[in-house]
Amino acid sequence: MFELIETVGSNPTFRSFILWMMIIVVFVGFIQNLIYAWCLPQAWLELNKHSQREDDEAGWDILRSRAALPITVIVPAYNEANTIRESVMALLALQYPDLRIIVVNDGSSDATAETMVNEFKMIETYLVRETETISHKPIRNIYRSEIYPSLLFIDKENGKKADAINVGLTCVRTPLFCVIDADSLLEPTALLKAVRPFMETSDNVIAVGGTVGIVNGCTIKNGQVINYKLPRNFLARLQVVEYIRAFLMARLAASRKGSLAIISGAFGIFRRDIAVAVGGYDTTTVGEDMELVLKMHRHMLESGAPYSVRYVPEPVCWTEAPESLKFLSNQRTRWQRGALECLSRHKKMVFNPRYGRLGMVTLPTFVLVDLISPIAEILGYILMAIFVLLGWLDVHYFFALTAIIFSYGVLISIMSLLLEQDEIERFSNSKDLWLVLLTAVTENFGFRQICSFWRIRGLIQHFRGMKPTWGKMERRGFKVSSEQKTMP
Amino acid sequence: MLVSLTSVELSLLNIFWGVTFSFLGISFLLCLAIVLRRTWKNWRATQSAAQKRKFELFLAAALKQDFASDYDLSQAPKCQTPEMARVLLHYFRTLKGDKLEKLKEMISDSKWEDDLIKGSSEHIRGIRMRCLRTLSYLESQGSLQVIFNNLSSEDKYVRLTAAQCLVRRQSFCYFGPIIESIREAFPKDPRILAGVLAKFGTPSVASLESYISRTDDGTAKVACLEALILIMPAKTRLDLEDLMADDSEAVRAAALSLSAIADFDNEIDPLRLGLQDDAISVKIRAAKMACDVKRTDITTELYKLTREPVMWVRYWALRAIWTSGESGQKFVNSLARSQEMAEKVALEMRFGYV
Repeated sequence: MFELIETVGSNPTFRSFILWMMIIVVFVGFIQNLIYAWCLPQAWLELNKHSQREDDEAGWDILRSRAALPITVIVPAYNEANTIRESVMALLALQYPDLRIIVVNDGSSDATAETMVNEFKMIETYLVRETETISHKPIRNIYRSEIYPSLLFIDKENGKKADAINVGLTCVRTPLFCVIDADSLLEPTALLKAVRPFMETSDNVIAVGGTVGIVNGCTIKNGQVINYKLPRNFLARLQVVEYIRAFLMARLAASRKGSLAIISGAFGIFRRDIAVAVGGYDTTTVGEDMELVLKMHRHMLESGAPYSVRYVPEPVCWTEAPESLKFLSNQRTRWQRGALECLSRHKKMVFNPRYGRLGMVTLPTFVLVDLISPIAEILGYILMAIFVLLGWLDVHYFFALTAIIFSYGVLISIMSLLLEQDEIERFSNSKDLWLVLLTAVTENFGFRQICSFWRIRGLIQHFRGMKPTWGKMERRGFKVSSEQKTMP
Repeated sequence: MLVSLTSVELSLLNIFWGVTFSFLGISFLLCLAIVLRRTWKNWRATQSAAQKRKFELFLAAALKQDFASDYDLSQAPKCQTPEMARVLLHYFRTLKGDKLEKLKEMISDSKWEDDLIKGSSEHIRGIRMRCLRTLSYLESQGSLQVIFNNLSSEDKYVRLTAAQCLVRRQSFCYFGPIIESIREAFPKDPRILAGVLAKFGTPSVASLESYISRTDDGTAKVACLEALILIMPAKTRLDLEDLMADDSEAVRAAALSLSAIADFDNEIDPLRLGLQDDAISVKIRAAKMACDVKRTDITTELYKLTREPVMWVRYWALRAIWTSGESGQKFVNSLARSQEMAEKVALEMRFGYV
């Protein structure tokens, strides 16, 4: 094996190829690290602007002023019979003056529809829907609740999450709509916090995203996270650090520059007229949430109207993180495929000055950090090993270079936690804080590399045109029971 | 040569390791700083909670005394301004009658008021807002001045709080400055200003009408009209004819809504004018209003709207015709044979969806 490598290594073409590859890898790594270094202060400035240290009453003022914009929450549900009642009850208890809820059953094979109809005393109804620009799978029935006038339930044939949201969107009559996952928990004041950018800025806000937190380990009572704790599962803990870095660093920095391209599918508020104008969600991609945001950006940029997409750093939504490698790998591969599909659909925007900062900075950064970097990272490790085997790189250098890469990763993770502690302050006890700091260090050794590998797998699957694997994550279920419950 | 190369390599290697250890060192120091800061914050929170408890007890005891001489404020336990403001605000909001008056008397011109005034210029927004809210319950000139000064704060949320405080104190003399201040802080959205002004309640109707009549600022005009809609006066002195002819569709739409709430002197039919308006938003608002008033004399105007290209105009017009009575329902049913929207509206109405 070694001889083979040595023979190939003596080939000048191979040598020059390998060297060029290494130069590219180093260049990509350098740019990526520069981006991270730039994101941190930007995120910090944005976070300071949003300051958490403001009076709790700021949100209530909106409620009291009766000036809040009406919102419809769309909840796509697929096989959620066990949790749908609790999820809807939690939504009905949300603090917001003018709130409507549309639950869309996406052809569940379990008793989701029956549960909704029986629990909320649903009766059949009919309503005029805006279907001019949005197509979707056939609707079986539309119901309205006799006990909760603001609750609507739509039973439709199976067509994936995006299709279910589209059906909900055709029924929305409020200027804003919010999309959440049926298995997500919203903070009671989530809508109040997230609607503020629509009301308080002059930037013509078209969409607002919010921070999604990991609920594993938290104490939940009546559908609310009452005590935040780190998950006991190591894999979930790694994702906590990862989420903090992604939400508090990357998205906040992008939001500051007005070019946020991703709003999590677990929570997002959008302007109905713009979403309808762009045809709603794309049902042919697994990255429908990013696709909608990019379409909305594109629509606004092409129309020449000033606009902005904003981000709320406060945790507004909680979701359960996968605790097994199998489901996590499926999730990450799917995310990568979704991102790739979106980028390939909107490739016209990349490096196109017509699309301003989004086209010239955000999307190229996205291509570099999310698409090229995983390849560069794994390739870098392989190339360094080859260099050492061929004797082109001294073992001491190998270790020194590897140490720099890892220590920089550690520094970035710790600094994103510093951001979290500066404003959000989710980890209030020292034990949790030490644990999360330790996790921030350890996630650089193995987890980050595995994630890069999953991303490459998503890339390969995308180019091979394979169907995405959704899998069914085994949820522990944060039921909105009256009893207090701690997530394992 | 060999020696020099080796030394260069060594120094490069040293630089690499130097960088690595710097990163790790900074990371370690940051970790330490984060934990120490957390520990300090937790300790401070415990201290503040204890101070707050003592302060609450002192205040409760002081409020039980009959005479001012029975309590000595200089004996009050030390309490951080934010916590003190929190306690006082709670008392101000929950106490009534003599107790409330007594508390106001205790705080006014005391060192506590001075602390609150100092707190209102803190760099942390939350503390400023809380201090301002607490000061709004005092009747001293000093507190009023502080609140007024914050109306020109650089922080728009502090401005909003100051405006709300002035409204809470029913300081009508600051009507103009409140509008100017909030208008500047939230330039395009009249909803927030309307929400603030509406809290003045019925006594502010004349001031709002007077402002609407003299301002040329469209957003301020809309905000004041929306405030009037929220206040729901029985009668308005405004010239609705003039407002319904305004260039801004938002003004026309707001005037239209006001006409449904308050009596007015003009010999015009704003609803009919709204239905004939060029702007889609005004037409929709008029058609929605027509659903509530159930008038049969505007069917011609509504029928014209059923041929509008915008779906929601057609929808609301047909709904208004349906709700006008039995003849309207028959009319929509007959239209349903030729018009898809009429068919859908008839179906929706039969199912009773609101």
